[in-house]
Amino acid sequence: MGSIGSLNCYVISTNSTTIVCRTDESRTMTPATTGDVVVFLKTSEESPCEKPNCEFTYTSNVPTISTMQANFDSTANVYKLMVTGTSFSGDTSTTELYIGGKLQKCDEVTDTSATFTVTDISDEKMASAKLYFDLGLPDSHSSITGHGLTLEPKLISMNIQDGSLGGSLITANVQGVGPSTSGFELVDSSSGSSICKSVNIPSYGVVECTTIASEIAEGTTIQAKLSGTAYDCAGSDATLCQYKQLSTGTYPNVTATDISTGSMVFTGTNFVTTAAYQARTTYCGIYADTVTVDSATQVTATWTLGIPPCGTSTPVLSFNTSELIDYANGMTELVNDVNIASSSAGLTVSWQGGK
Amino acid sequence: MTIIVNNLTVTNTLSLTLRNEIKSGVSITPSSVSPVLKQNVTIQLETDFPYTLNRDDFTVNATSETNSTYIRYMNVIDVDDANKRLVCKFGGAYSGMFSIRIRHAKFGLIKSTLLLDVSANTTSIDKNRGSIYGGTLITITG
Repeated sequence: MGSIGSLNCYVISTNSTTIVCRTDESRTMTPATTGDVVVFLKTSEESPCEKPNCEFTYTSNVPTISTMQANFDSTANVYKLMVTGTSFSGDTSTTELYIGGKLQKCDEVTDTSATFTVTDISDEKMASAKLYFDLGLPDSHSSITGHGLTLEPKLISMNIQDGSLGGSLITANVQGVGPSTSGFELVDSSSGSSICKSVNIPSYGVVECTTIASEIAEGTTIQAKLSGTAYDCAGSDATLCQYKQLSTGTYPNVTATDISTGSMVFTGTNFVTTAAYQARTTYCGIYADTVTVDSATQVTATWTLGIPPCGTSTPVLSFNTSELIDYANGMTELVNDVNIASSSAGLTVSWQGGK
Repeated sequence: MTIIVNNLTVTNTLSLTLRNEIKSGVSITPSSVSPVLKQNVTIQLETDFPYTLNRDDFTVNATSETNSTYIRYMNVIDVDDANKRLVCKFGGAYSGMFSIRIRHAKFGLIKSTLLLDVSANTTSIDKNRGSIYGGTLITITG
């Protein structure tokens, strides 16, 4: 912990020879107030400093900010935030913009403006903003705290334009959305219906959509949809916002499933035998312990304790890499009931479980 | 020697050999450490120390020069028998000068005039001026 006079300086990082701290923002000091920086050790001692080496003066001669605007840069396919004001430092290395505590990339600082690329925000509404210059917080710094800006989702591209009729994982670059964005969808522009069975946004600008197990016609243009409004493709290459799932596609297709051997054996076509892909099977949500691609037409899934007695459920077979997932089409419901070979007379079972 | 315990007399013969050689701690590196950091310090013994160095045979502590009841024990974490060196872990202490005491299980007390300076000093700050609204990043060097 450090302090300047009676004001705290909050430690950000330390090593054996340096401490980096940020001065307290909870109080506004009187200009020209002077104090010594004092380091308090965890042994409750003060680390002495020879005067005047540690003398610090508060100044009101700082930049002033007035507005913050958000603009989409269609060349770089990123959102830019521009803060305007006066007496800016011109130094990008000491100008920092935090949105909801997350540092954005500083691109340019002039006397009257500072421009940043949005690289990490939680959602489209963007939490409170805080701008620091080399001297600290500027005058009118609260003017951008509650900025009221909301970013529109900008669909730039999707990593695949062709998927399995059983569903595939699309990873889309969508600027303006983050992990806390809710209700985001990728939709078919012609019908307005969602093409995603589920959506996950692991980080800013990255949308993972597991597509529905239905045909999506060739040439379908995909839009980003948020809060009931659909937005057209914003990337320079419109073909990267097109997607199809065709019955004629060369993707995994299951024609029969057999459980008579104690394993689950899928028969079909286009099973992926490439080493880069790993086959996975779940049955009522329980993953098979081993899944072997016997050939392009047969896959065997084995549960060490036997096929789960799920009653009636539809198994899921997928072929995964670290980035791609293709689900097999043609899966149908399968019945695997509990098989009671014998039981005692008068046996009673609690619906609440127990043993 | 005769010892009487509960009116029973027990006669024992004890032999005691007085060792007249004195061995010392020669140096300590570093001689100055931080009050708040855990640091390794190396103690050099005389090269003709008569026993093979074994970590478990040593007890090392640092005693405040101004308060003899303030003692910080230092774990011996490594030994170098070939060069007769001990490596100890100093876990921090209030600022001040500390004398180093070294005891060996077989040899006994090893003479030591070694002193450890425990102190932290701030030498400078990188920014002497900052906003009245706070938020100034300061790098403190020491």
